[in-house]
Amino acid sequence: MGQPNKSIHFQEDTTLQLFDLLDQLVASDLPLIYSESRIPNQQVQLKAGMYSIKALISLINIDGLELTEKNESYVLTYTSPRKNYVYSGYVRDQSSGEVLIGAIVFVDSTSFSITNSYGYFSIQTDQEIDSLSAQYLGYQTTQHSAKKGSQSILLWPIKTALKDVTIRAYSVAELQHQALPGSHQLDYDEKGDIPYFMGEIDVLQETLMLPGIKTLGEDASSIHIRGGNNDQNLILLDEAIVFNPNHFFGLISIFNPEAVNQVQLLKGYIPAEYGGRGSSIISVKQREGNYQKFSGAGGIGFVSGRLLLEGPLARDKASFLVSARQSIFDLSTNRFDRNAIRRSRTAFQDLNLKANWRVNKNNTVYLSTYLGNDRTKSILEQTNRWGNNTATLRWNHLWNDNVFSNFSAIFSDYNYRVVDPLEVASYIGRSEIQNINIKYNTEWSISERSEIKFGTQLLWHKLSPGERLPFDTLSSTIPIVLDAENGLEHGSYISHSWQIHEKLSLQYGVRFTGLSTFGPGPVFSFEENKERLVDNISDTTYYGRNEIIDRFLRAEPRVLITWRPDGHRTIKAAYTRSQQYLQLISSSIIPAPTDTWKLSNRLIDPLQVDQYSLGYYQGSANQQWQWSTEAYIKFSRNLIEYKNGANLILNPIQETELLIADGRSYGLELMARKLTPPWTGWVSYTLSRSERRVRSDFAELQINDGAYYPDNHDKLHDFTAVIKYQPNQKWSFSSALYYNSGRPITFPSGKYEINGQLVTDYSERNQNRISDYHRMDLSCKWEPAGSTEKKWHHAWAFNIYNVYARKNAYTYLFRSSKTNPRSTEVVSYSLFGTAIPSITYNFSF
Amino acid sequence: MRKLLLILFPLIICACQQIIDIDISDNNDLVVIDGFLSSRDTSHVIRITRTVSFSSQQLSPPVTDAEVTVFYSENEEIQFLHTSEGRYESNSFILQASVPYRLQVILTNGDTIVSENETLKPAPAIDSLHYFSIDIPDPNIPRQTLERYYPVIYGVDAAHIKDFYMWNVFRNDTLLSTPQELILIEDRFFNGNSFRNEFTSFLFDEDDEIKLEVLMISKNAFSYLSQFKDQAINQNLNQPTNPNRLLGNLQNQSKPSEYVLGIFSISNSRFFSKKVESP
Repeated sequence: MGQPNKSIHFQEDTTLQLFDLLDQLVASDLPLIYSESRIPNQQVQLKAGMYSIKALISLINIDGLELTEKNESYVLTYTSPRKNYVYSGYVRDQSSGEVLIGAIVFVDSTSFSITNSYGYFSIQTDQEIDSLSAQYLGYQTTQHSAKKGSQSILLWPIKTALKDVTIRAYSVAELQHQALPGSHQLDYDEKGDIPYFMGEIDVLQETLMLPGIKTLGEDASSIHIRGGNNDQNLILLDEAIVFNPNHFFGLISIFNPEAVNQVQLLKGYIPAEYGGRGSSIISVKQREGNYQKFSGAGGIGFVSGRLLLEGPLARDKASFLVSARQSIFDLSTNRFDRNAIRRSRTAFQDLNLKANWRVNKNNTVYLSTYLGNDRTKSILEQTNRWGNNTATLRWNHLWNDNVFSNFSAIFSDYNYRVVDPLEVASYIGRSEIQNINIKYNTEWSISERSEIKFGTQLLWHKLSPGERLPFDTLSSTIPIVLDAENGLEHGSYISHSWQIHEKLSLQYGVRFTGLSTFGPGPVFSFEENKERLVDNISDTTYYGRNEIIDRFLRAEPRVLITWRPDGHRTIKAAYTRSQQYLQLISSSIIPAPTDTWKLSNRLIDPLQVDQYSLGYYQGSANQQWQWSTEAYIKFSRNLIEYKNGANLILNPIQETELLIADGRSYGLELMARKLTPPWTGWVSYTLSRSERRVRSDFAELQINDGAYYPDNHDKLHDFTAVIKYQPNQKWSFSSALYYNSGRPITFPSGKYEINGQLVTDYSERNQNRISDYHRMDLSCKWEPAGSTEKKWHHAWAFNIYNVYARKNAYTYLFRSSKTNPRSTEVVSYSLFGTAIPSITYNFSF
Repeated sequence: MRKLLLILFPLIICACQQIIDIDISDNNDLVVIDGFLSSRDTSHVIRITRTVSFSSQQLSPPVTDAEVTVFYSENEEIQFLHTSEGRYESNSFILQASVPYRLQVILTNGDTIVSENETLKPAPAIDSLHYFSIDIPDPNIPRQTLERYYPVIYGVDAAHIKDFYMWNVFRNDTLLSTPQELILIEDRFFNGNSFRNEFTSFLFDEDDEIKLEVLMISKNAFSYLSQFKDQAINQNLNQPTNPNRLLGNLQNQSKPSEYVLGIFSISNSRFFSKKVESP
């Protein structure tokens, strides 16, 4: 046995092969054990000198070479270092070149990536691979040869897919594992398969079929997600904020279905890159347009007509999309009452424009705009006009295969205008909210198990809460222009996704947000220990232009833990804190176009929402079914509530009409989906509560003596079933069934007479409920034989809304009887008391 | 609110209503004071009743044995005596401008109810009453129109004073008295200017007599009546808050936590009338 500490001496600088060096060591009686077959033979350079064996091995710069001492011998081993191979790029539609958002690209069950909002993916592996597979709803799952670096993966739509290519699809459970808890990627039906009101195809209406989402009536004008107020939903169109997403009083959304690429709803865990609203994110991405050829699509129904044109500006390099929609409701009803319609009109319009330019493989630029408006003209010559306008400029840049970034500059505007020439003081009224949004986001794929996202955002708000100007020179109106509110909202975030273990992953991050409000404008102080009334204003401070009035800084931690015990089951726990610096001031319980927004200030703290959620997700082994169960509890602070008889219209000090409330909501959401045709659909059920209580030092301002009371949208049970049957390519049938508990209402506690009028007395708020709601809709779609093979594709959709003509109560009216004024009666008021049939024609070419 | 209703007009035309039978368990028993005094009258009436169950077929039970007094100036007072059905009537007196009036009611159980001070505002400066014609769809004959008429008032609002107007509209001497027909206007948007008020909600035919009463009411009364109207028209539908208990300017001094419903109001009134002539 040799001497373990024996040294070896080199008299001069030496260059030799590793195996030769090891031979010399062994020849020097060093007790060294190694195998040439397991060690790479590389060139070694040594300077002259005396070395111990440990020092010598450490000088040999070969990663993975390791010397250990065992039983007075040295054992030399080699572990091949892990290599990182990066495969990245975009997933696109084969026929149009459009990017596919949310497509899954995978090597196996542990190496996969989901395309981001721009269709980009990045996968890292420790060994070279020959192929990548990609899967997307409605597209054939296919395998593609992989190349290191950036590439495009093209997928075929199912109807034109290559039929002889079959490949293992990602299992339902694995997809659920990837999804965020409380998130839905809306498979909205753009072909009219699922029935909606008057046969219209709609994005937001489908959200009403998902668990945890409620409305006050049957329209989508007031969407309440997991107990949140309507204004707690951040609705984005190509990242631009949409302040009023509805046309036609909430029955139709502003999103032209042909122009929509993807809709994502986040209501549970909200990643740190999103902020600004308390309850949910509804992100609508417009399509890019066809990079390959000129094409179009459209449709016409009783309510609206739609047309979309798209095509390449430069083949595979640049594309455009133009989409327009015009209401024809007036024309439809004109058949029934020409005179009335000539006097009273309702109309809406949309225009979507988009252009995209793939500058090179590392840079893509997008420009999109939306212009929309609603108009009504009453028989009394009053006209109302309101609408959203947005513009988005985005620049995607790949720093390298691992680092993706996006820069966006966005403008959003919502305005309302009313002209009333017959009012006591004829006038033109207007209110508006505008914001300019600059943001920069980066996604850095560190390794196959780790990804970091970070970014920053600046959002400039300008709110013009209202003005009222004389209609003409004869008008007696006093010009009133309320002070504008100006605010700079900012948010910076960092988040880390970490696959700790094959079964355990963690996503955590924090978003730092703030708001600074600026002059010019007055700030009112009120006398201490007195109700906030105009008569109790103690001081008024005027701030100059761009002078900071108030400043808020907040942190929003977000955490998501995912545990996947096996390939079919996933458990997720999440916590999300959100701050909201902008709240809606509504002049009615139902949102109205006249509503205005208000920035947080020293009298109205930012809304803060904390949500805890826990979810269990399972997919069937045959991939035909998926089930999910989610439970949540949510606490809200600084909700806006209104004093009794609040006077909000053109009120320069709205704070005197507002109260501050706390909220709590909790619920259990169940959902089951059948995914494989011919029978598809889903069933969802929500058991939930949503309550609030008003905080006030003054007993007379408290509601229900300061106790928690049900929110207006609180509904204990909510059930939806959607069933679709497609026996062949020609026909498809579907039905949707809705049931929910009646919403809260305040019943009278008595009655009396004043000045000859019957007055109803009310006491405790929202302690009663209107009757339960249920409805069934049916739809049938007929696509003529051979239509899909022709250049001109078309289909007819037949719908019946409210099939069994249920008179669902929208509200109850308590009034004196028309037949006997001494007695009173309760009247159930329904929006739609009958079945409404409709027909829609859709086409594409 | 009218604007909101016009915006929601298309929904309203699709709507339907049906009378339903639901169980409303209510049992409150609160004092109600109906104290609208107007310069149109010389003998004034204050009515005191109690609330009754909403589903009751009876009218509000009267309070018949209260002591009712209106105080004004420094130490002047007018007694109101019970006549019938909770009606308390005064001897003839004329309301005086710029004088604070205050109501006091003492119930038999000793509870004392008092109002805030109310002051008679100057008479409204209305110049004239006219009517305009409008063509509306004939409900009986498709594609035909009817020519009808609506009243238009010209007036001048007093400068530097917050004025609150209440309008009563009469057709052939019959008051149009539904909550929708209660017209309330504040001068916030035309303070100090001449104005023209078009009563487009009131349509008259040829030979009808239009009569309008304009009352200058207090801010308290305006707020109370506005809330009443909003709740009566738009119950649970288009109002900023859920329906709530209407509270005027009355307080039970003996039991401050016990609500007193109704209001004490002093208003200045003027009448205008015109007959719709053939064109």
